[in-house]
Amino acid sequence: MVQTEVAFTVADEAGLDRVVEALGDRYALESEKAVRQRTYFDTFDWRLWRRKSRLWLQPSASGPQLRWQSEGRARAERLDLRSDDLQTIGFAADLPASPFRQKLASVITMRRLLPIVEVKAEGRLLRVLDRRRKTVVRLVAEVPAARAPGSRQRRRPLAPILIVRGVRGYPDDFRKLVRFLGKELGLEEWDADEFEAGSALGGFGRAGEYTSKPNVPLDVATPADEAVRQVLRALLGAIEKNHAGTVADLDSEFLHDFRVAVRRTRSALSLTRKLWPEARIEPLRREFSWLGKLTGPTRDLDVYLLELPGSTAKLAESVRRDLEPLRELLEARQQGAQRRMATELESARYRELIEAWRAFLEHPPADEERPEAAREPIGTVASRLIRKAHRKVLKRGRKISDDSPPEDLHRLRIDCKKLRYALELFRTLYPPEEIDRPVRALKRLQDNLGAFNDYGIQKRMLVGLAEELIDADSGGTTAVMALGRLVGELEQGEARERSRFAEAFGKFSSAKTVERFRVMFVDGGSE
Amino acid sequence: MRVLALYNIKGGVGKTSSAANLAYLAAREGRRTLLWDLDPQGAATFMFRVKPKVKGGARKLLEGGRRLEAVIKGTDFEDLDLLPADFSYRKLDLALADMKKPARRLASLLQALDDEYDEVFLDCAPSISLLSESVFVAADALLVPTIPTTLSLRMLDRLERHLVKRRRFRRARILPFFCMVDCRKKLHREITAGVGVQPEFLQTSVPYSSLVEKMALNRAPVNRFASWSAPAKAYEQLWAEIRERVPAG
Ligand SMILES: Nc1ncnc2c1ncn2[C@@H]1O[C@H](COP(=O)(O)OP(=O)(O)OP(=O)(O)O)[C@@H](O)[C@H]1O
Ligand SMILES: [Mg+2]
Repeated sequence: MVQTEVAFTVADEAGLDRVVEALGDRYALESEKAVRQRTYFDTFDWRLWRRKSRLWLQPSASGPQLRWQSEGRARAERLDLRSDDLQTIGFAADLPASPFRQKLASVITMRRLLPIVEVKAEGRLLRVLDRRRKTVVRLVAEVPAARAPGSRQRRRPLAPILIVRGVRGYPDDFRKLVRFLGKELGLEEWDADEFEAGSALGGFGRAGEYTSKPNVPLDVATPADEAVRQVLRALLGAIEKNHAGTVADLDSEFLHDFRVAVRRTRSALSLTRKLWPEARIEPLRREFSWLGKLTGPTRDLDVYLLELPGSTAKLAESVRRDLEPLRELLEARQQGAQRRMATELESARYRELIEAWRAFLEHPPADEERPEAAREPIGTVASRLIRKAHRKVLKRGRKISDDSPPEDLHRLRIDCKKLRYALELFRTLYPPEEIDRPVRALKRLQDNLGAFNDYGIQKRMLVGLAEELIDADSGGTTAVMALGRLVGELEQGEARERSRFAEAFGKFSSAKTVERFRVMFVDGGSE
Repeated sequence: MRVLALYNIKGGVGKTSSAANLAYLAAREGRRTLLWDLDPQGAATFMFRVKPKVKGGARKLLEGGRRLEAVIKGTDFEDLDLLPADFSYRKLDLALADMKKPARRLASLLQALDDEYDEVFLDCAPSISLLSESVFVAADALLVPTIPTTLSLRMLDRLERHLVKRRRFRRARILPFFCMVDCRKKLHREITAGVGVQPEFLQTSVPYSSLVEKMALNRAPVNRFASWSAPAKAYEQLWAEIRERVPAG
């Protein structure tokens, strides 16, 4: 495609005026005042920004519009809205049904759109005219300014900008003008963008700053305890970043990421127990265990609500309608659980845990307190721990037959998790392309075990809810009958996953995969 | 993409003025809009200051492909592009007659622009011809500016019967509206009051106003240079009504 837009930076407003003057000397110009206003949105984990796309709300002659500029598209897609109330823009499902919404939903899924920055640009729209006084190039000369969305702060000025837009069918005029501005006036092409420049104002960090998968590159030679502390510090960062969104229940991913970070912290601590003085670590482990339990019920309900549309998709429309009381009950439950959890997460106990934990990570134990293993290089320690966890999975898995009870699979699932945590924790010690294969092999096994387990949990939860719905008076029986169908679906799923176990484990315990682990995590480090 | 044709067998009824204003209003809302001036007289092309020249002429244009995109010109107004008229459009009918399925020609040409435009307005010449048949097939609706006289109503009736007879034209809905309504004229008052309630008529009428005549002088839609005026308000209302009545294609 022919490039039809170029932007130049100008140092300040006076500079911009001079450029416009120079343009006026050379070309016939028509000028009018123009105001542009945009409120940009993105998810907490910057999903839109990561795809090099921008989503914003802007006023228009026909009312507020949501616009979405994705990479490679000549023009932003748009969605007409009824209200420009920032509060009404949240989940994809809340937007008017449209292909726009569908596409957006596939990118942001369950995440909420958060207002990131509000930009208002005052300036001029300039039209370059030819001899017939026909517009052949458009220019926008403006001084944008940014502030936190919906706030009353003074706007912070961003660098002035001159945008040149080609008019269709007049490519030569566009080229000449761009050359004039670049070569003769010596303007520099603009390479920043207002969304990134103002992204920190939304209170969620800079664009791209948060990622749910922080990467802490470790060095094989670092003493083991110091290396693990580096990872734990990153996890503490993730816990703290997700805290506010979890308490406010902005969307379910805050709690999810919060819990992942807590779980990783706990598993790292139990995996590396021998690296720390026991007296210091034990109380902290107890408190983290409390934190894990505290956040469990809300997450379970979140998962259930997120999966409800999928798990009922196969049922008839009428049955789905009958399940409405179930959804309402779950929602009420979730809100109750969320409230209780939020109170605890704002308690002194939580704050004290975080303070104590930070102190532990920032002030390493005195040298004489450090256990022997803490001084070993992390490369050696990591491979040893992974080998051990791997052996345990193989041993337990090999004992499982088609007749084994679900509890055996449950225990194997836990062992797999531990191995997975070990692999993830020390991932950066190994060449990325090589560690990926054992991780993938394990992941396939985990998917099977996880799905089997989830079906069981959902089934038991539904049976419990059925009893409650029977006690409830209105619409109880139809809902319970519909629920029976759902339980039937879940049982089928459970049986399906169980029957796939032998194959999944077979692959994981194959000679080839075992050999791969052996080579990768040899005794004596990763070299 | 929604295709709206401004059509009337009769000349001088406000087709071009309406096409220009409605297209401008659509573009002002951020709809990507194309106005195709199908009249060899090129009144719309002149109004938007574009040279009435299509490289290769009518015949080449009808062959489609990238040629159509190449001749489109941006106008003085953002989001509003124009496919200019060309004198050779007089021979468009002859060229069409040489082609396979001439009545489907326009529709398939426009199909190629589906990604690029949300709204397409066709400003037609006053006639019934192969080209207008092609317009009937391509358009989602025929917007028929009608001056409130008994003769106009009778011609409208004839158009409707003509379209109903031919099966492939039925897709296009006929949406007449009154144009150049002069409230000082008794006849205008009576006729607009009489048929204004008919469901197929658009409820908004465009009043007679010298401001509309000024469009050719100002080279801009009324809604641009006199947005406060009665005809501008009428066009705004008319556009809202059309948007409502014709589902986006
Ligand atoms: N609402 C109006 N009030 C006053 N004059 C109008 C109005 N609408 C159009 N006119 C004038 O009437 C004349 C014909 O209008 P216009 O060109 O829009 O009609 P048309 O149907 O496109 O004509 P043609 O059949 O020649 O293409 C023009 O001079 C125009 O300025
Ligand atoms: Mg005309």
